Amino acid sequence: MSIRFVLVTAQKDLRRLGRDLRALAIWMGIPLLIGTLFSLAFGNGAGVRPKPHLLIVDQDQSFVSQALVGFLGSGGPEGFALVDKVSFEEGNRRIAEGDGSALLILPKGLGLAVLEGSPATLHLTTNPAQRILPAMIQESLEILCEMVFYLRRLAGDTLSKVAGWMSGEGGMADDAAVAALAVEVKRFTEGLKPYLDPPMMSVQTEVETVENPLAKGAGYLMAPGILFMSLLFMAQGLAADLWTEREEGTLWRFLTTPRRVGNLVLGKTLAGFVLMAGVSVVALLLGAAAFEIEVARLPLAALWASFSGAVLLLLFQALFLFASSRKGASLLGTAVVFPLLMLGGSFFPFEAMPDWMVAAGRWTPNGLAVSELKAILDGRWEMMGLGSSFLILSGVATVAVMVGSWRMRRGFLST
Amino acid sequence: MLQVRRLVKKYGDLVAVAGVSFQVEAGRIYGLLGPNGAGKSTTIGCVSGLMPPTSGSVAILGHDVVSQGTSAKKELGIVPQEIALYEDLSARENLGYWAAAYGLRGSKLRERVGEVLGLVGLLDRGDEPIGRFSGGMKRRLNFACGIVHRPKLLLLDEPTVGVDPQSRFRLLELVQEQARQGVGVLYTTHYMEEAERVCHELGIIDRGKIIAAGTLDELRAMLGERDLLRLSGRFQAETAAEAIRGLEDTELVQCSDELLTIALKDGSQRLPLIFASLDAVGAKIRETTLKRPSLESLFIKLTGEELRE
Ligand SMILES: Nc1ncnc2c1ncn2[C@@H]1O[C@H](COP(=O)(O)OP(=O)(O)O)[C@@H](O)[C@H]1O
Ligand SMILES: [Mg+2]
Repeated sequence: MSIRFVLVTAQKDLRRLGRDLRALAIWMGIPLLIGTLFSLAFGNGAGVRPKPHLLIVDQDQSFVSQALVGFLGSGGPEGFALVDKVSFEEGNRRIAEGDGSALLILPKGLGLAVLEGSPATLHLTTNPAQRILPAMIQESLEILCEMVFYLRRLAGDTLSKVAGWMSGEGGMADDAAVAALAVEVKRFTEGLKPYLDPPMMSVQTEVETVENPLAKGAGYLMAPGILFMSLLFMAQGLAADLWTEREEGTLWRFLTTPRRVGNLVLGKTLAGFVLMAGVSVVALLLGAAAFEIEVARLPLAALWASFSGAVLLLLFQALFLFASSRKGASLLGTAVVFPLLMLGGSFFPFEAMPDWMVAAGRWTPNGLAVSELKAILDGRWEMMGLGSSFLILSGVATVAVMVGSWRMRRGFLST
Repeated sequence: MLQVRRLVKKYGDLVAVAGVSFQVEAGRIYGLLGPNGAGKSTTIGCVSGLMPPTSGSVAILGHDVVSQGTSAKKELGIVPQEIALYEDLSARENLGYWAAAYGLRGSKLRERVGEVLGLVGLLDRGDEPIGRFSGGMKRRLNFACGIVHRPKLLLLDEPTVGVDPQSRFRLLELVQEQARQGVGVLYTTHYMEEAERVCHELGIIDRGKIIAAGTLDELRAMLGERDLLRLSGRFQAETAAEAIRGLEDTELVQCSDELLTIALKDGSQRLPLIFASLDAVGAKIRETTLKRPSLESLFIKLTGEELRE
């Protein structure tokens, strides 16, 4: 095996592919097209930057909680967030269905706690399918809490008065009562002062792990599978080039040279890798824009996608060598591609599949690749998991190269 | 340079090559002449290491093609029967790739590619995708790809099939030029004239067997000075054969109810006698052809069949 000659072979195939502009346009267009279709179907429009959609359950119904709701929703539809006041049940149901960026629960007694300076906890449930929007909400809440804290320190008296209003008298409380309350509150805060340096309210963020997969956002769940749908189609299309080489007689000629046929297989696969890397980068950049994926995760994601794509290409090459004609190869390809797409999370995301299907799907090469790609994009990949998937796919690739090379030397030309 | 010993190749039950032996020397052109299906391409396939022989051996410069395939293939250049080129690449890129396959690179590669392009007369079309080339141009490029790495042994499998007369002439010249430079050439064809023109030695192959071999002169001598007479019409095979055997210095090569083939001395002068003898047994003659001694008549004499394209 000669690396130089593998590179020369890859260059040769890239040139040939480059001149077949139609195929190139189709392959580049597949993820765009499918992505657009799905985003239309699921209404998760790429490119439109969505506003955080905050669901609030106000269990307190106090002045403070109402002020908070008003503040978060200030500016109406143009403002920072779309705010829906909902009941506890409705809020939980909607966040579980992925409708909304986050669910904020303002607990009973919040208003009093703020005024009295006692700790309170806001429960924020975020939608894991959205990354940045819930973070924006959380950030804002934390700032808000600090504002409340400093406000209290500076204007304890006024707040105390407010506490008086809240105690149910309505209108103005009588001076004596307010004064008494103020003194009370002041003494209380004074006493707590040493402990108050950290914000008095903590905002607790719970990442919901809901059974219903759609909670994560259908588009985001679909996207890795869609990328692999186009990688599978590319692998299928590129593998058919072995038949072209057979028909053009160049494979025959290659076999009469002193080069091992593995050079040809690897060169072709390298050319496919380069093309798939191009498609993956474009698709991932679009996905990152639509679903707010951290850019730092993209290089590894692109590398992984194109590596697994190249393994799929090797598999299709090996498979096609056992067909009896180009037509047979393409029928064989179709017969294999659709079950793979189905099991491997390209038609339905794993999250929407029955357990047995997921279990089977993760043992397909593309399914394995899709689940690792998801882990990378979610930022939850681990060295062990990704490493062993890499080894498994490398093993598959090695077997495919060996079987393919053997078949090219024995029998492929005379079928 | 090339040693083929008792080569046998079977495809399942079909014996395509049935024990062929010959050798090719440096600077000589060895021709395998035979009709379609005779086993020429199969022989080339075994020599080039593409298919393992069923039995027998092939050695190129002493390297056995099966056990020392890589060393053997390094010395080998092939011009396949079917054109083997990348349609999407230019002539220059095609040549460059095959040169690289034999280890050429850099400026050496570029120089050699230019040189070979000039040799086959494609220098001015070198950068076009070859999809637009005519059949003859592709044939010449196909040849160029076989010699771009300066092989010591060149295998040509019917390189002139479907080629216009000019390209054919040029190709034959190029083959002779290779031999003059010391390359050993194995040349298969079913064209008699081609074989007579370019080959130093010849093996006549039919149904997987070499039925006659030697230099052109040796082969002509096998035929003797006799002409070949072919008569078609309606005969009674038995009685016609009897009538011919009665004549002096004639040999009945083949005989059926429609066709008689006779080898004889001074054919033209003895035609009336032959007609008379056949007439006497009631034969009706529709067509007569008389051939001077040639490879073709030798082939007919050896196989009883014409060498068809
Ligand atoms: N791959 C093959 N499988 C089965 N039979 C074959 C194959 N290739 C050639 N043959 C048969 O072998 C015989 C010799 O073929 P070939 O070597 O191509 O002859 P030629 O080149 O002299 O025309 C023919 O009868 C042909 O049909
Ligand atoms: Mg042939």
